[in-house]
Amino acid sequence: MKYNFIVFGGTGQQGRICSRDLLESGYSVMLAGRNKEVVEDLLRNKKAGFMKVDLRNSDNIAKAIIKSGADVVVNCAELVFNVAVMKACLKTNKSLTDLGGLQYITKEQFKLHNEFKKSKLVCITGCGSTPGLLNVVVKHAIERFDKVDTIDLGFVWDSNIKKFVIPYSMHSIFDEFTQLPVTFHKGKFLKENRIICRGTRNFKAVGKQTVYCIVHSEVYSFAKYFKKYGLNNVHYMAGFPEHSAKVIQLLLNLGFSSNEEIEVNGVKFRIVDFTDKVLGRLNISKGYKETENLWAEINGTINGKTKKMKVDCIIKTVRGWEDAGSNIDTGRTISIMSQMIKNGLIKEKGVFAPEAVVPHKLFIKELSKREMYVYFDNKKIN
Amino acid sequence: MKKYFVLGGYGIVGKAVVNDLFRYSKNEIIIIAGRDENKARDFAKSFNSKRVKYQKVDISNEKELVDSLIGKDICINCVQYYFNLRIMESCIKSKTNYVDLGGMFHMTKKQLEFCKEFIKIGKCAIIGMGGAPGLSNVLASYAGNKLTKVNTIEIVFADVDYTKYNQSFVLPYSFKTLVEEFTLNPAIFRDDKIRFVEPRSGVKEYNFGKEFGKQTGFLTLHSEIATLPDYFRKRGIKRCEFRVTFDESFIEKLDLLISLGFSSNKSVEFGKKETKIIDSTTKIMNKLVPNKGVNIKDKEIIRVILNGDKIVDAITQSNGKMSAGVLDTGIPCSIASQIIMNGKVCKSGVFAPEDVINSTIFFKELKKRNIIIRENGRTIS
Repeated sequence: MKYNFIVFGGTGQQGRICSRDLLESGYSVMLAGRNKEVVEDLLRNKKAGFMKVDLRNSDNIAKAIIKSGADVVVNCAELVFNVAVMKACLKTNKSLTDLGGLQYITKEQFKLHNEFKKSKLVCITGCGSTPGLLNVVVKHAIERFDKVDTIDLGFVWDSNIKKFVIPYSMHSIFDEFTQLPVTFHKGKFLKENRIICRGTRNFKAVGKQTVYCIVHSEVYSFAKYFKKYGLNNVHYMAGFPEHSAKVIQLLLNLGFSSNEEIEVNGVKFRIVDFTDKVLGRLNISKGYKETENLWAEINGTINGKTKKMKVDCIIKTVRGWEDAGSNIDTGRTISIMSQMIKNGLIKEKGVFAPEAVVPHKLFIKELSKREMYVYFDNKKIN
Repeated sequence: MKKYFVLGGYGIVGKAVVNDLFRYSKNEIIIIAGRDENKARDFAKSFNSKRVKYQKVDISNEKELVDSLIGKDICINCVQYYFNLRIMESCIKSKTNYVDLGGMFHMTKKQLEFCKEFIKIGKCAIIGMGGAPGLSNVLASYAGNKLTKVNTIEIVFADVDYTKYNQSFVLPYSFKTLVEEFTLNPAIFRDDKIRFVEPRSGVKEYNFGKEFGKQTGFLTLHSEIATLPDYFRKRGIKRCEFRVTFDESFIEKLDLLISLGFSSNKSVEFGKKETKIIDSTTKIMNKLVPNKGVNIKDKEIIRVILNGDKIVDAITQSNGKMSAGVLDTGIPCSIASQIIMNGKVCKSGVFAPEDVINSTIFFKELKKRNIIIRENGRTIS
């Protein structure tokens, strides 16, 4: 059987969310991953297939793409595989989407722009919630401005039951909390020497929360794509509810985020992988609900007048998707963008961040169908 | 020359035992033994003395263990208590005296059942001979023997730490032991019966005076409760309890790790191989001992309260390299081993410290090592 999409990392949380969204949208999906047992429910759908793939061997990636016969490749695996998957797509002549990397990986990915362009292929990197959804929404907002001086943006979230659940990839969280943030400040990239607390802010959906400047790819992509607006400053900030931040900080302090390989009872493994596996065993309490508030504050001018615009995207746990919490905004966003490539709605060729090529009006409409709502200055726009 | 065989002698407490033996047991051979030959060799070489030797021993191999014990005068067991029974059995086969650091109540009960075998071979085993259990038991027997009636015994320990650490978290002792203290049902002796209560229950505040201040403790499973009620039965004992104290932020961190599943006995899979979560977490956590070069400045108090008002304390101060908690665990074990070797315990069998340790001799030895004994606030040794 020839599939519409192949989803790498298809058995991980985002891969499962994305695959389900693609299947429910009527497409056929080859789930490529390691643990078939976690996707048994999805495999009941006749349009779904499973393939065991170990991405650590790059030859496996191209072979899997060819075998699936997919039109578009969707990469929901850990960010360390992003470049390898892109190279496999070049080899097999396929366009792709991925969930993005931190700044240093994003930079490596953009280096393949000309090769993708030459091959008449598109790669959209950073197609999750943030980077991803928020980039396109900011693009939609920014079109109203003549000039933009500063964009502050980020995410905050909270849950009704104050019990730790994995918010998103622990590998990414640990990276974000250990790598020094880069900000775009007065027109220049500035490497900060520590994670900077930016104080407590009040957010539309979760109330007061403390936010920290962390490393994130939007700082680069906004500086690149919104240059024409005269953009001077971009700051990316993350906010976790206290009960979650406490756990992350504890694990960092105790060394549970380390990449060091250790051996216990004859089994060798990286500490961070062990941490991920232990946390992955946590059950989500009955009735657990999350709210995520992606946000941006845009400072600039509209028709020559100073304007500060508040942008909010509010994502709540959706009925039928309870086990995914507010993570639906990552897996379902990459699904929407991948469908847009498949359906020829994205014409550009090369490597791009979503704000550069995703049709924003259409995308925001798709969000609404999935109960993800966008507000400009507290007014719902979808 | 007599031979001390220190199993796990390169571990945190093992090192304290070996240091003390080297300093106070003149002319006798000390063998540092364990499965990691490199660690044993490195530590042995650091003494630069022919008296200190090392030997690789895998305690999971019974024959290897028995063979290595033959010809040794005493086995000092400083490894995790899960191996106590196996090591005692090997001592019986090799006819070797035995001392260990405790068995978390249930193991202690099983160990006492070896008494006949030790009598048969004419050797002595003292079990639970660290700080608590160990020193705590001797404090109880010392104070209790002065009273005609002993109705209640409470044991508690606390610490004050002035060390300037360059790390955000310091593990005071084995992570596995900590997890057990936090999660196993504590045994208490009440109205002639051993009862098991909820983990972390029985919260009580103690005032340790000026230096240690007020600290809050909770009940934990400990070996003292397995032996002291029998020792004081004739004096009418009705209640015996053990509590540990930790500061609130430490409790919060341990609680979090436990609630996240890091102390689970289940396994996780890497490739086709499985590893137990608790073993892996222990390996990660045990890295969090104080960094080398840190000047450790802490004090520990082990307090025994009889009948509510008879208070005996043992106070230990760190020596810069080792914490008070390590010293007051390792030193009593070394002293007891030397007492056995010097023939000051002539009995054969398996004993709790209160059964065989003469408190006068013991306190005198502690004093030489700057461990102070106070009785109702008055220094007595």
